[in-house]
Amino acid sequence: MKKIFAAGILVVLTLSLAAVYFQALPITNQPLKQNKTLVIGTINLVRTDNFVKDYYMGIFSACFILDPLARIDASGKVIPYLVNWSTNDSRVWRLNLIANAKWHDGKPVTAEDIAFTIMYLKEKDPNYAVHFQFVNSAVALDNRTVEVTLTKEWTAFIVGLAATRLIPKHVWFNVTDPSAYTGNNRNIGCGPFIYQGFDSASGTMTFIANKDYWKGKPNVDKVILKFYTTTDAMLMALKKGEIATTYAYAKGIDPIYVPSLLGDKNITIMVYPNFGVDNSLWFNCKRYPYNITEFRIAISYALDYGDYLNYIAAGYGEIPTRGWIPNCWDYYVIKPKLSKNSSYAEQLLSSLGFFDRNGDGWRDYPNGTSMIMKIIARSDIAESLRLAELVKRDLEKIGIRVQITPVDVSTFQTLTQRTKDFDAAISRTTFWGMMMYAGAGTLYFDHRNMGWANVDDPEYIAIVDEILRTANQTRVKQLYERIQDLYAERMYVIPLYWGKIIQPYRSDLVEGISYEPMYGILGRDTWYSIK
Amino acid sequence: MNKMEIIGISIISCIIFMALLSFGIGSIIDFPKSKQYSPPSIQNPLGTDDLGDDILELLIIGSRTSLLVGFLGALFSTIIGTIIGALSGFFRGVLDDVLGVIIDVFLVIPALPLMIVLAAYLSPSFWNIVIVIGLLWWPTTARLVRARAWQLKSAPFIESLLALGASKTYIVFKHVLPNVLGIASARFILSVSHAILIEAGLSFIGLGDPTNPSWGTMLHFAMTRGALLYGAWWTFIPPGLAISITSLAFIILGMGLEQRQKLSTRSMEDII
Amino acid sequence: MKSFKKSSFFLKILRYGFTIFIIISINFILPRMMPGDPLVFLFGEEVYGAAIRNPQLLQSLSEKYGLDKSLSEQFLIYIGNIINGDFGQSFSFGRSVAEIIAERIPLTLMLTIPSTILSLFIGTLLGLSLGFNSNSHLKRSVSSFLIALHSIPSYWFAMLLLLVFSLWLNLTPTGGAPPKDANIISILHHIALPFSLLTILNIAYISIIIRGLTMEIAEEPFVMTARSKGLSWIKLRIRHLLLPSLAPFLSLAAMELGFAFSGALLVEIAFSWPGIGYTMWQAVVERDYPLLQGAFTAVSLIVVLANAIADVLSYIFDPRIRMGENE
Repeated sequence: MKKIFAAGILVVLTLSLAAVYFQALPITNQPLKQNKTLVIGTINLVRTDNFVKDYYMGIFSACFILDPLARIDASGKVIPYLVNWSTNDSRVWRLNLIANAKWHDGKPVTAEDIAFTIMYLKEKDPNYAVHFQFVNSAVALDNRTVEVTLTKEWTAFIVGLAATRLIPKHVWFNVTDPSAYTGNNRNIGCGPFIYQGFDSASGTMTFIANKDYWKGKPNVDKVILKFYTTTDAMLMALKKGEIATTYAYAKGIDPIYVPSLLGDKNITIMVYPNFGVDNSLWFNCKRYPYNITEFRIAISYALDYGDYLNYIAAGYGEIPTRGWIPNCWDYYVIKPKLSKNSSYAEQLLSSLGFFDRNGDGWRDYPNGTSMIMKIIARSDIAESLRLAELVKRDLEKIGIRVQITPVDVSTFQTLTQRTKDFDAAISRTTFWGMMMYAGAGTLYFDHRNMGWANVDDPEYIAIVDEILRTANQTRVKQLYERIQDLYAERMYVIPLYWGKIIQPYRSDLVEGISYEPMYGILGRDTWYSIK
Repeated sequence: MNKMEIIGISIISCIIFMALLSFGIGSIIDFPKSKQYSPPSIQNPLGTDDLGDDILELLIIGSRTSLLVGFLGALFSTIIGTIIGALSGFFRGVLDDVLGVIIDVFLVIPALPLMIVLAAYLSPSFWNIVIVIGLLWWPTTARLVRARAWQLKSAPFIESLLALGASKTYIVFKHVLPNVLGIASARFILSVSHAILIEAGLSFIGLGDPTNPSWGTMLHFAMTRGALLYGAWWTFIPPGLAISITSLAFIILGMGLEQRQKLSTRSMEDII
Repeated sequence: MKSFKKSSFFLKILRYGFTIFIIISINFILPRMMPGDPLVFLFGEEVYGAAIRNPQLLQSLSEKYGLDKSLSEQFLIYIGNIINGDFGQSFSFGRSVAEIIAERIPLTLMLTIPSTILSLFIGTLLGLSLGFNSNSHLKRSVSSFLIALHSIPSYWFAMLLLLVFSLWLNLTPTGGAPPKDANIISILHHIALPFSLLTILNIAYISIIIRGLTMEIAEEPFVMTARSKGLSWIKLRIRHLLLPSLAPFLSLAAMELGFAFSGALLVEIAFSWPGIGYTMWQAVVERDYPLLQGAFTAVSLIVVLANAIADVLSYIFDPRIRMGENE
């Protein structure tokens, strides 16, 4: 009797669970090609649909809703888009509106909007305070011409144009705090898609094709962005055909996932060059002993670059050269490849006076005190912590004691950009970061700017200053070559591996995706090449 | 010794042996590195993780952190709980009221969320995790010890001591504490089980100490570096099993000890 | 002999009020106890970074949050804000914490309430059965199995379920909540795994406790007598076991809801189920302290409330407590 009772309970339990499972059989998706809706999965979570306040909303609004003034082509050059430009002295610039663009509410785009956007964003948005730091004034001369006056000669001004997301003056002119603006017209732009809505609970954002877009209607009618909190969940959805492709700003998927996608015949994997440096070891070049060039060079010989490539990038990438700049840039100069030579590293360190003085097995400072190198890594990026772990092992093999400190993104920024209270850090750079300031990664090096590496080497600073005021492109290229010499000779930063952008998509759902270095597959070309 | 205790002790001995073995890695035993996510093979009996590290090696290294955090966290929480419980149970009046309310309050506040909050404020390190567990896992122990101290208070020998004019503090430390040691040790063993589970939970959500990898850390990296989608079950089944078995072993041993203390069966509620 | 004070039911309820006060105080003290400027935790590193370079801004922020006032005054301001439902602004979401929490709580309730009801039902039956004649071989092994089940970390169990049901059998999604306009099938599809896991774990917990209660009562003489009179086992259970334990049962039910609520935390994280537990995790990852505190306060309040309800129910259903004879 009792046994029957117990068995009965087990049956009830099993049946109730089974009932839930069987009712929950997967729903088959309609082919996306038929209704011309493209569903894209992303782990770049949008929290609120205000593009000034929310970083990723800013990215997606640039991809869909707002048009840039200039664009960046596949080779990384700035080319005209809404405007073209001319200047005689690199101080006074004329921008000519060349597109017949209309805002989503039907009003025409004018030079007034352009002048307003430049001055408004410079004042209200901290990012543009950097892009337009030398802008003194922007005035509309007529309906199609804007005159921008800079405080000094500055050739990289046009790079800022490529980052500028044109906003309508008639919406924003009396909004004092754009990051708090909640008006219904907050997402009006003149881009290829019209913003439809954001459902934060289920994590979807919808865009409808703009029939009146000045370059013509996009090839899809509707784009749905689906937000995923984990890559696992996103790629499962890709495998099941719930999404047609994935997106991550300035990034592909973590290469470690590639093998789990390779078996699926409907999934195609595209591999693109990465213009950013996928992970480097950044030294605080103003702090002892990392301010010693030979010390940094010694460390560069202690690292096993093959391991980083295999275990972190899953083989999708290359062992970098000492020149740091990835080989996809047109100004890239061939430099010797980084390689491990532990005995040379140890010999160099010992000759600098860094050897074990108290017999504990670890190298000490020349003055006898014990040395610990603290490496900070982002706690929210698993690859970053894993890479730090591998670097730690390599350094410990040559007797340098290492402590990894995982930090969240905002602490990382505070430590590397403001307080400069760190020994070394692990982080990647983005294409856009490489373009900014004087280009060639100077943004990340120069202690006067964001300057993670905190470089104040006068020779380096002189080159940066010359690039900033040089209009002659041949000369700039020469300077970029010179800067790579410095990167290789002085090792301010050690590139750990050059990654690739890995972009999977379902060939049964979408074809003809284009790629550009800045916004990846969500660049303007995709909307006209897609099938 | 009853059967439960024997089972518990033998499993725990194995785990302690594992933890001791971890000191010999590199000298006595060596585990070869391999390709990432290699399935179990002769070379790597439990396969490898995303860094190509041998899972068995990590399991052995992890046992050290998991056990140590478990023991130390449980030790702290038991000491705090026993002292608060003994004092509260033995003294009448204001002290008991105050301590009693504190015990009740901390029994109600959900411990795991509070630990997460505390751990997020403190930087992730071995000792911080021990402290977090120690500070927040004492209320149940305090309640049980308090009940026992209550009983003791009316025991004839204590009453005669009181009648002889012995100071209460003296009695608490000389006679009450030794008499609650039995229940405190049972609670200690059960707390080890909880502390191991809590440490694993905190590490799993990324609040663990990255320089002292534990079983929870292994689960964290399996979860965040795609082991699931890869189907690399060997990266997360062994550490999860290790956590479960270890915590179960301590529960079994603790239950055995509690039975010895002739506690009512209702204390099952407190075990869990 | 118990003093009136100790057995007073109302004093007990008063204690819950005190507990809430303690929880709020913890939230107030923690950011101020940590080394460094509490502004960092109150505003996030970014705003703080801007503030330290701009003394004027720092001053205005201090004034706005009353940091230039004494600690006791600050505390009153803080309490006032909480009473008005103002938990501050989340750094990472850029929205009010109260708003985010209000959005996430229903998702947690959707998971915990049905799971609690089902597991109470099954767990009680199972526990009653196991507690009676508890020495049978089968029952002992089932009990051991339940205890073993309880020492399994829930998030690890979740990973196993995902591996089997999501990856190998492709029956369920790998996590996440159903969309707002989802139909019932889609909701079940998403909720199946987290719901089953939570229910299984709760059943284990409840049945172990009910088993303990039953074992105690089963040893009492009146049950023995009833048994010898040949009362059928089901009648016996209901009349002599279930009815007298109605009060502890109801209070168990209410407490169980609280337990499920905080226990659902790790389950939610493992399944990316965007309830309150998952929100806490997001706040941890981004070190979004206002959101973390808000989520913690919400979880604690619900647990405290569940406990208070448990006491009220015991008070109503158990005359012994009303007479002040408990303890």
